[in-house]
Amino acid sequence: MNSIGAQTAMALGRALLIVVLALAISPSLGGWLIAQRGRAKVFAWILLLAPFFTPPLLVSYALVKFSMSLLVSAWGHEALYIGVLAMKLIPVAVVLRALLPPPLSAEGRHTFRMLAPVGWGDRVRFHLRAVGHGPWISGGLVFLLAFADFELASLWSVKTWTMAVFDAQVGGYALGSTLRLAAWPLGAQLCVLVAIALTKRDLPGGPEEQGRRAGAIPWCYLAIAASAVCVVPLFIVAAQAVAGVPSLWENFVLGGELGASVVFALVAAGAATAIASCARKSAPPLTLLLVIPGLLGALVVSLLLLALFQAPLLHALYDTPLPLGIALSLLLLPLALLLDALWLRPTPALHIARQVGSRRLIWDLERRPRAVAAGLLFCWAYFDFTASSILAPTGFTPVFVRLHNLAHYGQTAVLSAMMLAAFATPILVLLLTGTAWRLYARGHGR
Amino acid sequence: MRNRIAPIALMAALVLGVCWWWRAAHGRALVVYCAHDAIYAEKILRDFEKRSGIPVAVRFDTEATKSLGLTELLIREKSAPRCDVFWNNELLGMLDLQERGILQAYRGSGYARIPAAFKAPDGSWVGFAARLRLVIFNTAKIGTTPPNITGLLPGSDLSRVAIAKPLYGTTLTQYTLLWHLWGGDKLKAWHADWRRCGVKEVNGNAAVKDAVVEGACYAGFSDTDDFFEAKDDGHPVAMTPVRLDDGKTICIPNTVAIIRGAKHTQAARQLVDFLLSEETELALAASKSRQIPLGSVPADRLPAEVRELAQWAREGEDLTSLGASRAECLAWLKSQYAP
Repeated sequence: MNSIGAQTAMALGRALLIVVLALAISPSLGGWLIAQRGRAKVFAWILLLAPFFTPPLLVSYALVKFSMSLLVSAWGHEALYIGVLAMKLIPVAVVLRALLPPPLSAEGRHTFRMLAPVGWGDRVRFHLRAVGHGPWISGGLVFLLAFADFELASLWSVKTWTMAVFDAQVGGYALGSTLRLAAWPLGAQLCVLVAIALTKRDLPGGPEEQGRRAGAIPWCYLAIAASAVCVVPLFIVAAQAVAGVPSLWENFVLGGELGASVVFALVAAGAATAIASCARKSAPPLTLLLVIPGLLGALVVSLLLLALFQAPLLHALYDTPLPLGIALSLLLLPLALLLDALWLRPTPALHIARQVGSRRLIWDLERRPRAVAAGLLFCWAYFDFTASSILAPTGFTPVFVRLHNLAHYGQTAVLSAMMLAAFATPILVLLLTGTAWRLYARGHGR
Repeated sequence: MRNRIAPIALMAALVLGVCWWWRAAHGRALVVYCAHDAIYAEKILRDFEKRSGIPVAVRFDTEATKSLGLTELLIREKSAPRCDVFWNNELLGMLDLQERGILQAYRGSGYARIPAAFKAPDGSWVGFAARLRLVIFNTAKIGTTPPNITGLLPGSDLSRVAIAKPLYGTTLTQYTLLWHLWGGDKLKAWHADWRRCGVKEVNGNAAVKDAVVEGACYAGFSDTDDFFEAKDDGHPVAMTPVRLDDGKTICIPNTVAIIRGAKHTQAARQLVDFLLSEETELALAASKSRQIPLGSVPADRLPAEVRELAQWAREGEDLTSLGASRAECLAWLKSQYAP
């Protein structure tokens, strides 16, 4: 069970199971989300994305007692890990399914049903064609993220290939040996990446029409996932933190680490946004090159950068903020490019707003989406643990490395207060920045 | 294209400038790599900073990879060291570094007060503030009689017994000692038996403590500092020291050394003397981790629990000759856990 082959097989099995779950849930949930309107739509999207953006440390810290009680039951422990990972990654599939609608319209599907080919083979072939390439792309990305998971696995002592690679690296294997160890899993990841890259883009079809009245099932799923991965852990930590806040306030020891996290997150979000914006008109192979490191996972990227900056040529830059800054930027690029494609492309409406010179409209159509995208990237970088623990320079360590260490001593009121402070900081930063930006836009609006 | 080159060049210059400033601004600080638990070590290091006026930049190891991560990092950095002082939480990694010529000898006032059994004759490393390897057990589950889990026969059910991954930390020290006393073949067979019997392997000693505290496991191997964490929190736990076949205990000191090629040798010596002082040993003994002083200290200033631990520590197996066993045992463990 310890061999890298067995651990890769386990990770493969888990990732495939999560892909199946994601592909089963995402079409109906994606269609239902698109059909929502007004505040219900905003609320539904928040519930959908909350698990994805919840840091694994929060979940594992809050649920440590529950996960420990499952330790003796191999399947219970495994089910908890797969369940949480699935709830975190299903939103990726849903977002991509919403972005990549099937090429065949609802009318086309209806016509097919009317004509009803006789053979099962024809039916299957038709259905495979009718769904388009969306499922392959979203399934592939969910597979990559699930297969490369390190953080949740390391927090819950789950056996997987990323843990074996990490053990090999800290155990003193040379980089070449470590990468040889990771050759099969990396090969599997690269195959999936190439398959995604070669997938032909469908002609844009209409979104799958789903009734807005799909019953309470989508709301139930969203509520359960957001509660299990985000709300309940946050509630547990907040309840414990109440008693610890005064002690933390008296002796606030996290200032340096919080500052380091904010600085690294700002720099990485800025760099990733700029690169994504520059890459907008680039050829697809270049875009693919930009997203590959991020999709290979934080562990592999960090180990490669560590080796690179320990080489004689770049040694002068080792133990500076540069390696971590580069790692975080690379890890943000897939999300930055996705957000750029989703929200930040110029539209005819924006063109008209610019012609009219309405700052208010420009805010609504261009700057607000840009601010939201930058905010998401900032949070994603802020909550990083893996790259920070490997590449952070001495004396400028981001807060989650420290919290991750302290979390090993179990739950205490002061530590819960520290967690709460760490989770509140990006929200505070974003609220302050957003308010200032909005006031500026209003003051200059027309 | 020309429009893009200027901002890119400007950005590159800015990044390099920030890195240069960073190196210059942090060049003054004494760089300490610390494998001891951050919650205990940080206070000591900040005290030193306040008293000496020497800024200290600390790199802590992660809890899961205790000591091995920093030891290997020091080996990788051998040709261009960043670290001035290495505060390790165990001895065997330090022996490895000594053998590789990475440590610099220093025999100051701190060296003089530590007994010969806990320091290198040439002064390349010195031990202080030890802890004991122990079996922690949940008294609400199995009563107050210490379980004899080390003496269990092959085929016993160990699904309620926890142990940390032996690749790291004090579990590696325990495995190395068993390798030394039993030989590799017997240890490999014992390890295979234990895994077959369902022993729960977790990430670190703190996770062992958590598993026992929560009652998921009834007993497990851990250290005195983790045991006292659980006890102070009011959990129903008790402990007994791990006894080897010859009846000896496993007493694992913290160790400190100056790195060869350190850029702040004078400041490093000051820190080493500070760590090896009576005052620091007493502070660590009085902390929640109840570390056992190795140098002479007034007994009346020690907590009662530490006085009891000190008795067991005196029965500790000699660890200073385990360098070769560690290398062999670690090579085998790597082949098991990162094949």
